[in-house]
Amino acid sequence: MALPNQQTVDYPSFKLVIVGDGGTGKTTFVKRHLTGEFEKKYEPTIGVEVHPLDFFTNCGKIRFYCWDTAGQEKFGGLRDGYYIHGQCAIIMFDVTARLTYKNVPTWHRDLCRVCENIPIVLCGNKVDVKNRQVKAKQVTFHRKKNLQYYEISAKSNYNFEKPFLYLARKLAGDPNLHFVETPALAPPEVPIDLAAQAQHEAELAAAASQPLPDDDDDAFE
Amino acid sequence: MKGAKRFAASDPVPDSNDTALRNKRIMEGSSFNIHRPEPSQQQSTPLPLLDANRADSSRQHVRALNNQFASWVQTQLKNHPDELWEDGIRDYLAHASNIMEKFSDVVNWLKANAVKGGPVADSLPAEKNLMPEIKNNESKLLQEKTGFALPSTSTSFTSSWSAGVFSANQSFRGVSSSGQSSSLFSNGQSSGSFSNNPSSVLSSNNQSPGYFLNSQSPGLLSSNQSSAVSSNSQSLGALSNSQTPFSFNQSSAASSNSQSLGALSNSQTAFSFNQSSAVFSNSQSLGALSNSQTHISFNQSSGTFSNSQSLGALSNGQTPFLFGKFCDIVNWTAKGGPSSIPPNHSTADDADDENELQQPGSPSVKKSEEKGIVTVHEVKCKLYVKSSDPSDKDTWKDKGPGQLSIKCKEGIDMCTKESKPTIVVRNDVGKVLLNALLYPGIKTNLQKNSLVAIFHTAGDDSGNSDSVVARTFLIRTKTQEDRNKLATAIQEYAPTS
Repeated sequence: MALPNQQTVDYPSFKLVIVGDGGTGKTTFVKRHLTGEFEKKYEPTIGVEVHPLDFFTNCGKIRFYCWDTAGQEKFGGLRDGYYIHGQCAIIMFDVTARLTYKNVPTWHRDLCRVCENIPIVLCGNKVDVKNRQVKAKQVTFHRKKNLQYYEISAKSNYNFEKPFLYLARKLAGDPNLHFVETPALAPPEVPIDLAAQAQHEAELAAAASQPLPDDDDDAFE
Repeated sequence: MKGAKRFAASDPVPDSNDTALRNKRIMEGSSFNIHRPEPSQQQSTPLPLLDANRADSSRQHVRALNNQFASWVQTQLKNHPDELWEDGIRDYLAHASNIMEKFSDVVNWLKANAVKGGPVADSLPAEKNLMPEIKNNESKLLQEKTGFALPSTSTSFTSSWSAGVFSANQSFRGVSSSGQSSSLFSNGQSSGSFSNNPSSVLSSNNQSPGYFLNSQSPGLLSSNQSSAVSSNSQSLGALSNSQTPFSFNQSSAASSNSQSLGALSNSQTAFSFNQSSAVFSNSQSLGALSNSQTHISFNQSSGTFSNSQSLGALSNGQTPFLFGKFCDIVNWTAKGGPSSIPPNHSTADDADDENELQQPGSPSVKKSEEKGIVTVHEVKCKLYVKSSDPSDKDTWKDKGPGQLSIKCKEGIDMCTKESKPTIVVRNDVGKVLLNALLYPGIKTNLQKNSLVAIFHTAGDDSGNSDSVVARTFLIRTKTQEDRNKLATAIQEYAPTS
């Protein structure tokens, strides 16, 4: 279910609604998939932001239109109006903040009022943080409501593809569906002359003077 | 001789009266089984006769149904692993009901036999008995400590009663390794064992009347100083499973009653407690595919009554309890099953639990094999690209972690342009983060555990894929050794001219 100004595609596309308390990492998670970046600074989403996310599977290409909704009440906008025609959903909470897990039933209830019987994934984000508040064994809500639960980290990319894989399998009705490598086109060939080489060396020297990005060991766990 | 064990040689075919008397003696001596009818009373009513042909026919019907059901389950597991199979199970139960109606005489005989402890039990040979000697003063000591009276001659025996055509009843010899005054009674399909210092009593009583069911109640007591436990487990209905494990320490008394009625029901009652505690737990689960779990873990002189019921198809009732000083005693696994509960849960164990380690996620991407292409170097890395916008606060834009590969054409000399040495970085969903050719005279800058190089990639920031842009990339590896190997590989496979 795309927005009017978004082009429709000739391969299967689905409206994915992402809900959860403010600051749980919904936008960061979407951005991580979209551009690969990990957004450190927190800017609350106002209303909703829609991003197309493409995945290559053994059954063909698939697109999720991710409706990244506002978690903070004051920026709620249409609230459950964004859920209309939702075909799948992700409910996100932050394992370092107990209150965000306590509010999961409310998000689930609101979602199910509008979208009946859609595949839903419950995601406990920020599992890379050492002193987590919500332990894995304390997460029981998904069992009562027949949801899939994944512990994820948008920072370290731990399980970051799992929610999409589960939803793709449910929507395609194929439990054996899996992601495949995006076809890599032949990279461009560029003739390197002495001038270009000198320019490269100057750029490398400039880059060397720049501070290195924050060292996060968790990227390799 | 104090503490010595001697074996009582029992006759191969004991006199039934003698067995009854011996049983009666034990009943009188034990405070656990005051509600249980004595064997002498049990055998007073005459039992209906069973037609052997009918019994055999019913057994064949059941076996055929079970074989059919088992093969169907296998097929379902293979073809529909993430679907509910309630239709098939309803079908199974319908067939089971038909068989029960058709062979109601056999079922009634089994029920009568189970309740009255019929000739099946009596016809079984008695096990050899393990009889530790008990002195009177030790018996008094036990009575003072626990409040339970003990017979002057304590007998440990295992006998299987209420065994029928469809009930799986096996007897395990009760094992007692004890310094002084211990008594073990085990009935039905139950194995009880304990190693104890002074004065302990364990009674496990298991009745299994019903239709091809399997009931197990292993009672395990590892205890010090005067402990007593009575476990009574009953399971009535097709394919029901009831388990009652115990583990506790120091002057504790527990009474557990676990019942599971209905098809494919599962009732579990687990206890772990320490120091002068008393608990009564009653867990019942009625209905198809119902699951009721009651986990109780508490510490230091506390008492509780827990009653958990779950009725209806696919119902799940869980009641975890926590008492005392320790906060993380009950362990729930990710899928909801209980993990074993240690009797003495130290705070040192909790420290590990505080920072739960991330388990590595299983890869969701299938690697594609490219014909005529060989991967000459691979390493896990994190990729950054230098921002082209000078106003950007962050010089390096995060592209995310991924798998770096250097690939060349097979069968062509390396260090030539024809080998097309390519550096590719893909993330966990197979998305390409970097795809560029290694070029002659490529320079790399090594910093800490990172490598900086310039690569020519297709497409600029505006999304124009036709243009070719030279971008500065920072490739971070886990260790400096990985970085050095990568730098060497880039120089080694880059074309010379």
